[in-house]
Amino acid sequence: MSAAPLLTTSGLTRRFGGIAAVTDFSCELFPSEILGLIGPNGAGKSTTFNLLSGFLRPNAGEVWFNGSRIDRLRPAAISRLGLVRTFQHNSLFRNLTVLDNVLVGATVSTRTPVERLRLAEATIDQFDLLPWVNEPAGSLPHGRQRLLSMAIAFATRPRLLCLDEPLTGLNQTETAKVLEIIKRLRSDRSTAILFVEHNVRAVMNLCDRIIVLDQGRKIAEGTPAAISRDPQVIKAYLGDAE
Amino acid sequence: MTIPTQLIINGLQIGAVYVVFALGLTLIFGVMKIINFSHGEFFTLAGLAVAMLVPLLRAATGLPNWAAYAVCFVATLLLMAVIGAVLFKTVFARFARDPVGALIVTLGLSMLLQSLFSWFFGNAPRKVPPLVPGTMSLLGGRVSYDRLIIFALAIILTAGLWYFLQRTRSGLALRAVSEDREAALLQGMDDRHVMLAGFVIGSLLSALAGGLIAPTTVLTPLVGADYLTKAFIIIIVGGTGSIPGAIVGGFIVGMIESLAGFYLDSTTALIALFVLVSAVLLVRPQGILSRVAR
Amino acid sequence: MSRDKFYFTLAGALFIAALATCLLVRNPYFVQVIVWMALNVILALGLRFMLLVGEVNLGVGGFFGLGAYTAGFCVVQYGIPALPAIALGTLVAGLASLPFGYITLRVSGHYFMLISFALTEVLRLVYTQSKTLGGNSGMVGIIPNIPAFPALVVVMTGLTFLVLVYCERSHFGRVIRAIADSEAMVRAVGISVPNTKLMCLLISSLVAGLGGSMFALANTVIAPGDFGFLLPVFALAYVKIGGQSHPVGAVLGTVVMSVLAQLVIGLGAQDTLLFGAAIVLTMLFMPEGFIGLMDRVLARANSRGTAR
Repeated sequence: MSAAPLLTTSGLTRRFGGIAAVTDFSCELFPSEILGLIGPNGAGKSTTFNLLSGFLRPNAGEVWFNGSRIDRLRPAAISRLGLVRTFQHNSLFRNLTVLDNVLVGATVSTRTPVERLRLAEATIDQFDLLPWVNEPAGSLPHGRQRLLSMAIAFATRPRLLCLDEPLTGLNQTETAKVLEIIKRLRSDRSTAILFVEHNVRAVMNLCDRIIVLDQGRKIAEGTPAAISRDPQVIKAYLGDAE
Repeated sequence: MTIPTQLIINGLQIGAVYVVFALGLTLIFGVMKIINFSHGEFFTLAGLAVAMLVPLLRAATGLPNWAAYAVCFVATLLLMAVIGAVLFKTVFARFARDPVGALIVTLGLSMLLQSLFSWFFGNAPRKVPPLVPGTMSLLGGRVSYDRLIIFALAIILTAGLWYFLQRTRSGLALRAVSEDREAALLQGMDDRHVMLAGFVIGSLLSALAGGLIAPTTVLTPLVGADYLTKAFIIIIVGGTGSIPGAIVGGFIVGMIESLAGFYLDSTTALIALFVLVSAVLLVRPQGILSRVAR
Repeated sequence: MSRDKFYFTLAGALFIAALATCLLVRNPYFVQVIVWMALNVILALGLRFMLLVGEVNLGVGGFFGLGAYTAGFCVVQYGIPALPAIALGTLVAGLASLPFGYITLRVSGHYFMLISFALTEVLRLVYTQSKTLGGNSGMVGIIPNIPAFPALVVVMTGLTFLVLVYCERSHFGRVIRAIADSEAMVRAVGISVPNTKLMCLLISSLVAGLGGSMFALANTVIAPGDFGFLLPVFALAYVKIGGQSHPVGAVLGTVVMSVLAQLVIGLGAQDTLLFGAAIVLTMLFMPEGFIGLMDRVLARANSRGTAR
C-alpha cells in the first residue's frame, strides 16, 4: 500500500484518575483497509475508540484524519470529516421507524430531500432491511438492530467506518448475517473499516491487518496469520476463555 | 463596621436554614432523579402546624414556650414522616426518573396542598412567639438568641446528615443509588427502599427547615413556595444531587440575599442570584461542586 | 379512520367553533374565554415543541411576557399599530431566547428545566422593578385598532398550529425526535446537537412571544403577575393531560382544562384545590392523556371495522 494513510495516531494516551486506560497508542490506517482492534477485557479498546471519534479527549498524543488534526474536535465535526462510529448500546433511535433512522443518518451527506430519501432507501436495501422499512426501530430483533445502526452510520457516506463490537450478543444466525453484510461492504472498497471485536475468529477472517491491545498498550500488529502465531498475543489471551 | 458584620451574621443564619431545605431537595433528586415541586409544602405544613400547636399546648399544659415548641416540633416531624411515606407510595413512586411527569404531578400536588392548608389553617399569618427572648451582641453585630439557636440546630442537622451519608450503611446505600443506580442494583441493593428512605428523609429536612424558622418568620400557606425558588437556584449553583454543593450554595444564596437585600432590595437580590446562576452555568455547567466529569 | 385524520378533524372542528363564536356571538365574556383559551393553546404548543427534543422549557412563560411587554410598550409609547407591534413582540422574544439558549442548553435536562423556570420568575421580577414598564401595576391602554381582533387571535392560533405541525413532520422534526432518543448517535452522524436544540428553542420562544403579544392587545392591560411560573407550568399540564404524543393533545388539554377552570370559578377558593386535584388524578390514572384514551377507542373501532 503506497497510498498515504487515512488515519494516523501517535502517542495517544488517556488516564482516568490514576489509571492509564490507554498508553502511547500509535498506528496507521490506510484507505479501503479493514483493520481489527482486539485484546482481552480491559485492554483499552473502547477507550481508544472513544478517543478516535472525539467522545473522549486524550491526555497526550495526536490523531490525524485525512490530512486534518482531529483530536481536539467535537464528535459531530469529526463525523462530518468522514470518521463515523457506531455504539455498543443506544446506537439507534428506538422510537423512530427504520426509514426515519437512516434518513437522520443521511442528513449531512446529502443536499436535497430527494437525494436524502434515495440514499436512505439504497442503504436500507444494502443492509437487507427493506421489509422492515416502516417498523419502529425498537421493535426489531437484536441482530437487525445491529444492522440498522451500521446502516445509519453508513448513510453518512463515511471514509472510515468504526464499528464498536458489532457482533456482541448476537446468536449464530445473526452473527453470520452481520458478517455477510460487512463482507459486502468490503468488496465495495470505498470505505475503510475499523473493527473492535471480541470474536477473534471473525476478526481473523475479515481483516487485512490486526492490532492487539493489552492493558492499554499495543503489543502486536500485523496480518492475521502473523498475529495468530505471535507469542505475546497468545500470552495475553491465555487468561481469556474464547 | 457593624453593618457588614450584621449582614454576615444574618446571611449565615438565613443560609443555614436554606441549606437544610436545599439538602432535602437535592437528596430527593439524588435518589429519584426528579425535582419535587411540592417540596415547599412540607416546609409550610411543618411551620404552620408548629405555629398552631404551640399556643394550644401552652394553654393546655402551661409549659414554657421553648418546651412547648420542642414537643410540637418533634410531634410534627413524626407526622411528616408518615405523610411523606404515604405520599411516596401513592404518588411519587411511579414518577421516579421521569422529570416531566414528576414536575407536573408535584405541581398539581402543590396546588392541592396549598389550598388544603389555606382551608385548614386559614390565610392569616401565624408566628410562634420567641423561644428565648432577647438579643446578644456578637462580633460587633446583634443577633437574637432565637436565631442563634436556629443556626446551631441547622448546623447540627447538617452535620448529622453528613455523618449519616458518609458513615452509616443506609447512608452509603443512598449515595450508591444516587451516584450510579445501575451499579447499585447489580450489587443487590433494593432501590425502592432506598428511594423511600431518601424521599422521607428529604421531606423531613424540608419540614425541619419549616419548623426551624417558625419562631422567626410569619407563616402563611404560601411561605414554602418562596423558599422553593431559592432552593432551585441553590441546587443549580451547587449541582443537582450534590450534598456539599447544597451546603455551599445555601450559604452563598443566604449571604447574597442578606447583602444585596440591604444595599439594594430583595427583588434585585433575586435578580442578582439569577445572574450568578447564569455565570456559574457558563463556566461550570455541572455546578460548583458536582463531581460529574466531562 | 386514521389517527391523524381523526385528530386533525377534531382540531378543525374546535377551530371553526372558536372562530364562529368570536365572529357571531355577542356576549363579550364568551369571546374573552375563547381568546384566553387560544392563547393558552399557543403557549402549550410552543412548550410541546421543545418537549419533542427532550427539554422542558419553562421559559416560555418569560418569553410570553417579553412578547406582551414589547407589544404593549410599542403600542402605548410609540403608537405603533397592532400588527407590527405583535411582530416586534414575537421577534424580541425570539432574539432573547438565543443568548439564553446558548448559555443554558449545554447543560443537562434538569438544569435547563430549573433555570428556564428561574428565567420566567426573574423576568417577572424585572417587570415589577421597571418604572417604564409600569412596575407592579403594569401597563394599560394597549388597544388594538383592528375590528374583530379576537377572530384574528383564533386565526393566528390555527396558523401557528399548522406551522408547528409542519415543522414537526419535516426532516428537522425528525432530527429533533432523534435527539430526544439518543443524543450521542445524532452527534455521531455529524449533526450539531447544540445548534439544533437552539433552533428548537428559537421556534418555541417565537411562538410564546407571539402568544404574549396578542395577549397584551387582547387584554389591553398587562401586569407582571400575569407572567409568573404558573403560566408555563399550567401549559405543561395541558400538554400532558391532553396527551403528549400528538399535537392535537395540546389543544385538547387546554380546551378541557380551560372549561374546567371556568366551571370552578364560582366555587371561590376551592378552584385551586379542584384544579390541582384534576392534575394529580390525571397524571396518576391517565398518563397518556386524552389522546391515549382516544387512541384505544380508535384502535378498537378500527379493528372492528376491518372485515373478518
